[in-house]
Amino acid sequence: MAKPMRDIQLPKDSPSELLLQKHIEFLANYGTDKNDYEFCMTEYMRMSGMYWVMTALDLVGCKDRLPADEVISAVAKCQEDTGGFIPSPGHDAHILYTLSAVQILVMYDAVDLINVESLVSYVVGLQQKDGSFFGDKWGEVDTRFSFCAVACLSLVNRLDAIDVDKAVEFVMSCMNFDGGFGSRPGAESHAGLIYCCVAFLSITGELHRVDADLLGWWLCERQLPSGGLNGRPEKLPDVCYSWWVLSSLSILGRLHWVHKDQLVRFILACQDTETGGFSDRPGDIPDPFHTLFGLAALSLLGDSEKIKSVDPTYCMPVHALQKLESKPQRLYI
Amino acid sequence: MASANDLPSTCDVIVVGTGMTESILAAAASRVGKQVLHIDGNDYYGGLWASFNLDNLNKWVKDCENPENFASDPDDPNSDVKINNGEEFVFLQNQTSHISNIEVKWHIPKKLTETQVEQWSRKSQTSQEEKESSESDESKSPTEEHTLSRKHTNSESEKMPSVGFTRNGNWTQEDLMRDYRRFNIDLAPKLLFARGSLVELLISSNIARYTEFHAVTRVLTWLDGELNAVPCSRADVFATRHVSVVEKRMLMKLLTGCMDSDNLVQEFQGFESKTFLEYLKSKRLTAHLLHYVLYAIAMGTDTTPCMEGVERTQRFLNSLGRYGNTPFLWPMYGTGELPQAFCRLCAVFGGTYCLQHPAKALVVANERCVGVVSCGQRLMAEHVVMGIAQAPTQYLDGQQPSGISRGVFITNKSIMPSEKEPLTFLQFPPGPSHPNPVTVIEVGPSTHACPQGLFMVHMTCKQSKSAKEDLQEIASFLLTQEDVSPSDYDISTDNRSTQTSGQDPHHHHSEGASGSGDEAATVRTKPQVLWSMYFNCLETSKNSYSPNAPENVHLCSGPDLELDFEFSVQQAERLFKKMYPDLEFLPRAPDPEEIVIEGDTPEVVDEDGNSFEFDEEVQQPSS
Amino acid sequence: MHGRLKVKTTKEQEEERRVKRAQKVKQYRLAYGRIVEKRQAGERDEEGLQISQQILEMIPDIHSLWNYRREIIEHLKESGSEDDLQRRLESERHLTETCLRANPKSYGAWHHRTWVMDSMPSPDWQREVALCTKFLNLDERNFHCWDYRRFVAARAALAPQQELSFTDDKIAVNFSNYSCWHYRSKLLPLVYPDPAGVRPVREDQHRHELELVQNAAFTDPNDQSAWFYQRWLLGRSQPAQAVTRALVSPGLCLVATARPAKARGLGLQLLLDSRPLDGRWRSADGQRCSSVWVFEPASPIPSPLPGDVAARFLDASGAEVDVALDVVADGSSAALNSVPAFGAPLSPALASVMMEELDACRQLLEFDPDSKWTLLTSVLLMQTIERQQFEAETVLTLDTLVELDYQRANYYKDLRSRLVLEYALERQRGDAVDLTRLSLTALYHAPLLALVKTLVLDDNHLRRPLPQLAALQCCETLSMDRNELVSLSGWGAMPNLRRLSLRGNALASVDSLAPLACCPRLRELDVRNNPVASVEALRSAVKAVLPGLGVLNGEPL
Repeated sequence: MAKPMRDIQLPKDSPSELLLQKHIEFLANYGTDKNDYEFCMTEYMRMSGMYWVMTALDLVGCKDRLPADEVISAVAKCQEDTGGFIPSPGHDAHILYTLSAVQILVMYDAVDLINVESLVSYVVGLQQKDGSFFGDKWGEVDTRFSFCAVACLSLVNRLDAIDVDKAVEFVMSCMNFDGGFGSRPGAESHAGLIYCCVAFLSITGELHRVDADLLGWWLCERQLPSGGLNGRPEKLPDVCYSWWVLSSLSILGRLHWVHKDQLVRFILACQDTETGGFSDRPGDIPDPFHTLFGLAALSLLGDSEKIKSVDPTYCMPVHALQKLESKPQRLYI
Repeated sequence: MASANDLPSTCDVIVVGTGMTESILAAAASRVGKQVLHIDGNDYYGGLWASFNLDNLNKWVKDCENPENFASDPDDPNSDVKINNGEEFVFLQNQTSHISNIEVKWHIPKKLTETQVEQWSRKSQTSQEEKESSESDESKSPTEEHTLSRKHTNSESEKMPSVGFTRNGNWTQEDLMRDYRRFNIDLAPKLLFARGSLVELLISSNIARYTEFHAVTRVLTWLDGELNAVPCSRADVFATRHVSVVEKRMLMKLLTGCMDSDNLVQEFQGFESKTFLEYLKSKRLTAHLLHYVLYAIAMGTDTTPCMEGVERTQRFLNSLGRYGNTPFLWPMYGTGELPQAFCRLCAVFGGTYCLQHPAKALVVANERCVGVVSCGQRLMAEHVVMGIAQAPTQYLDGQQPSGISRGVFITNKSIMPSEKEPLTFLQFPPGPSHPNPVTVIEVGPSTHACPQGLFMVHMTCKQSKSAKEDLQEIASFLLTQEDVSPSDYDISTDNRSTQTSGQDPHHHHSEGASGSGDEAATVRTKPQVLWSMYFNCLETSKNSYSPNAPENVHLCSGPDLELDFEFSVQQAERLFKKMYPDLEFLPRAPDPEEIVIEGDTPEVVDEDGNSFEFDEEVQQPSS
Repeated sequence: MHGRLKVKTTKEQEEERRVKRAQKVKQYRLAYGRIVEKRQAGERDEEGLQISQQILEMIPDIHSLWNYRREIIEHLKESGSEDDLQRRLESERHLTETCLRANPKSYGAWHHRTWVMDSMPSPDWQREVALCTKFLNLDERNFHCWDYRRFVAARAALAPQQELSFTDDKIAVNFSNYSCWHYRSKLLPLVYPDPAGVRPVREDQHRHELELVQNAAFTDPNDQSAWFYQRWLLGRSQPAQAVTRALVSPGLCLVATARPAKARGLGLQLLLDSRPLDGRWRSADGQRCSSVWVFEPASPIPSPLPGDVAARFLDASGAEVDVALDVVADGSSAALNSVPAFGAPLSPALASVMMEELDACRQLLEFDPDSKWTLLTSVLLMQTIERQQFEAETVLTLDTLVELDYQRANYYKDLRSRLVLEYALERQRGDAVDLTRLSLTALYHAPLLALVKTLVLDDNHLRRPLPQLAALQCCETLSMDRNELVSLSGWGAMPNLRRLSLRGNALASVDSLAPLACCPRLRELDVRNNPVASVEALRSAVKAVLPGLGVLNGEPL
């Protein structure tokens, strides 16, 4: 009669230890079969796929499992004359893949291979009068793209190139009654977009505009009895929200509002004991996306010394961000 | 469909009769690879579970009234079929013996005479004085009732009678008979609990793809002389304005408490030997809530034991939220569709079907049935499954079965009109004049029960007298059921209006005038009965079968009194386990794309008029 | 004999699936290769539409293919009639629908549909509204579809009232529909704005909404959607910008504000006899955005001060607001140290609504004493209605919540810390503030402590880094005995701190004390009853990291 809470039950035989070696193999072998169906069907976002795999490997100290030179030159080649990056040959540039490419090159300390001037003009060109950003020239507007824009530019220390005030105004216009953020004005709050907007505000140093207690409360209410986090009320838990909710809370200085041990237990239960890798929920098929976010969340939770510490704003290893001129802002209580 | 000479003379199971339990068993046996021969003396499926169009129903009624004509087989089994030494014939019964007190009646003229047509049209244009004088009349004819109510609520409509006016006032037997094919009148109307064993079975066995359902849209109850919508789902409780927020909490808390299996023992401690009513009273429910829970949700009475009430409440609530807003489903085209769906599965897996093929006798030797005599043929099988209605009397336990009283009414509108076509379940609580609760199901045209503009009301209760005596009073609460002899229609309308018995004046308000959306509170005109049928049917679910029956003859009960199909499913499973203890009962049947056909194309029963379309109103159960 | 059926084994099915997938990969490669060729050759034609359609029906998220289709359509538009374009876009619309049926969450397909509709010569917006309604029947939470619906509603110029009644219907079907409550929060202020500006919506509608929420809460108090919505209805405005603390003295000038802000937006000035002082503002914590600002005057502050000392800031509307400081008798300094205002005053009408809500909560708690949402809401209501009256009950309720909803125990503990601190700060605002044994897990309102010289935080549960200590610009003595500090990393700099007592914490290493180097005047440190106290050669090690220290654990260094 009363609506049961939407959640899952962790299977009894769920893994409870981090299967680090399996994950390393999973990540390092990802894409070695070029004819793999899933791999082929995700070609259009290959750059992001590479970012997930390589960041995850970097976090577990195995960046060297990838052929650095090959990766660097392949990524660098994806920058078009317009300054944007394409996800893979034959596909069009987009700000999503541009950020992934910049992140990869920053992690390889190969920023010098980026044509920064054209990158900056590409990003600047996507900003609209209202401060928002298009994802590409076809006019889709989303706060994800606002985050991509400021993340890209700040990683090459050129945040000043855009109209930051306008960009902030736009993001603030996407704030909702619950203190969260949606993809555009009027859109419902969603943990993924909250991460984008909170990280955006931490890069632009405007975190004080968030009602951190209200939003933090909403975010910690994402934790379900299973320990996992969902992305919106009444939805099922998913490992990727472990990252989006947790990184947002971390930036807001309220990471401790979720129950750490239960979340760790949930994340570990999402490991695939056979193939390695994390899936969205226990028993599902693992992929690099959930693997990165599972590992990154464990890093924020400080659960394992085997995982390096991750920066909640950029979702990159902290050590890779040493050269950043301006550190992303954090709140605390 | 097999013809008589195709019949395999030897098979694993012969099923006699296509009632519900028999059909489930036939499907189950066929599904696990048994060769099934399924015969029925009727030219339709379902036996006492059938759904008929208006014409076929009339034939059935005639057959029941004259059982000697019914499915008579002129052949003497002795003439063609030889029996061996030590074998004997045991003759079967005619199933109509289970039906009694049948009474069918039209409440509308055969057709309108020209004078009547003229008079009605004149009547609709009566002057103000005439109207007032007729209003002051104590008595009005039922056929006129709507005419009058229209007049004093809406003067506009007098000049141009609406379609509704014509319809409500002028239905004739001819109108209905012209559309006889559009009726599906159930002999055994039943609902399915959305999580009841039949729905689960339909899904798990994949038979669901042969079936379509409508979700029952509302649960009503009779409270303080009025129909009330029962807030039974979470959404209902949220939306209803008939109970206060505190009552909402009380109700939800009580219902949730009944569902909380962890605390059940603790919650009901001390009530094990008390009634559900006593428990509800201990919870200090308000009178309304108590009525809703006891009579509508638990479908109980004042003497229902507490734990039974809890179980019934659980059954109701468990089925909520799966399809639609109530726990119930109603099969499209009537309950007669369900035995057919199982027959279809049986046929897909190789079962042979033969209608109009009555079984006359069993051949019995050494307390085993060694043959079934039908149409001059002796058929052999390891097991014989048979509807109890046909079973030889000596196989029964001799205990007089109880009875079911049924009433079926074709009406001109719903008992409680609503914006969208309603599909109603109403459990009429017992009262001083009717000791047993009466189950009322009202179905409309979208279920293919009847043509547009009409509704069909089914009433069922435990028999105490004749069906008519048992149900007449409840019927009169809900419906206007005037007995008008056809000759009355020749008298001028003016005369009639003073002759026939009167209606409570406030029933003349048009429901159109309410418009508040507040269904329960408005006073409304009752639907008019256009056609009615009463009959009694034996209730054999409680009977046990005497050890006289050969061990390989399995008897299946007829329709039971319960609202759902629980009994049939359980009986079928029980009998199946007796026949084949080691085999699985109706495992999931493959989807068409998973099927590899070896050898011939299987013979599939071809039914007409059955659409498999899926739209939002129609529910097809799926896992 | 009739045919018998054989059910395929899962192995066979798996093999079939593998073959099918390999085929699909091949098909995809072939088709996509052709697309790349065509694009390189600048071919924008029907064939391009046809091939890209085949792939998109399989994978609707390939943005490049949608891009290509748009290029083709824009190209063909030049040579075709308007009718051609309309037809083409209608078939485009159909394609997106096909894709969305297969994958209702495809960003690419939804965006393409907005482009199609915006490019269409005669768009049928009503059809789009109907499509949204249909998709939302299938999945009432699909946010893509909600977003598209808002786009359509704007283009079709649907009255917000119409959309509001759509949300009515959806909520009646299932009130656990957060998306729907969210939409209401956007629509209501448009349809029923509050002329008084006190409530989020007009008074009568406000009551109606509260009733709706109450219905939901009494039907199912565990449903979170309604409670989040109620929190918004009851309002929880951030405090208005204000100067809460200020000090002007020859040694130190500072201003603390109610909310953090950037110096630029804040427009801070110190005025002596209405004349602004010349100098520079820097934030106490080094952040661009802060609530404690230190003023570095260009020339020395006059002593004694004139009778008229004020601080000036810009409020939300950009207007200048002056706040007078109290000048001490000898004129040596001026300060603003007023009773802080927590919680805004309520109008009588709103107060009575809140009181009704609180009564409803209490009624609900009689049935479900363990309903965490009800308990938390009652805390918020008590705080809004009359804080002083409900101090004990507030703390008690939060203690209950810590037990009940242990996953969020730390949230409730921090909330309790904030409220308890607020009660304490209303009572104490001298030079010395004692916050001993308040079960504090968080240190809110540090800027209100900017003028405090002695702060005692003994016997609390502080554990995390405390950068907010940078607000304690005047603090000379700080005691945090018996807390749970593990490290002092991230501690804010306290320029005037001389004595620090950290007895009975969990500090383990000398390194964990190193951050104290940011307190240049620190002379006395007490770390007794910490693991670090038993470190070998503690004194020399501490001396090495904190060379200015004169006394350690009560003994001179």
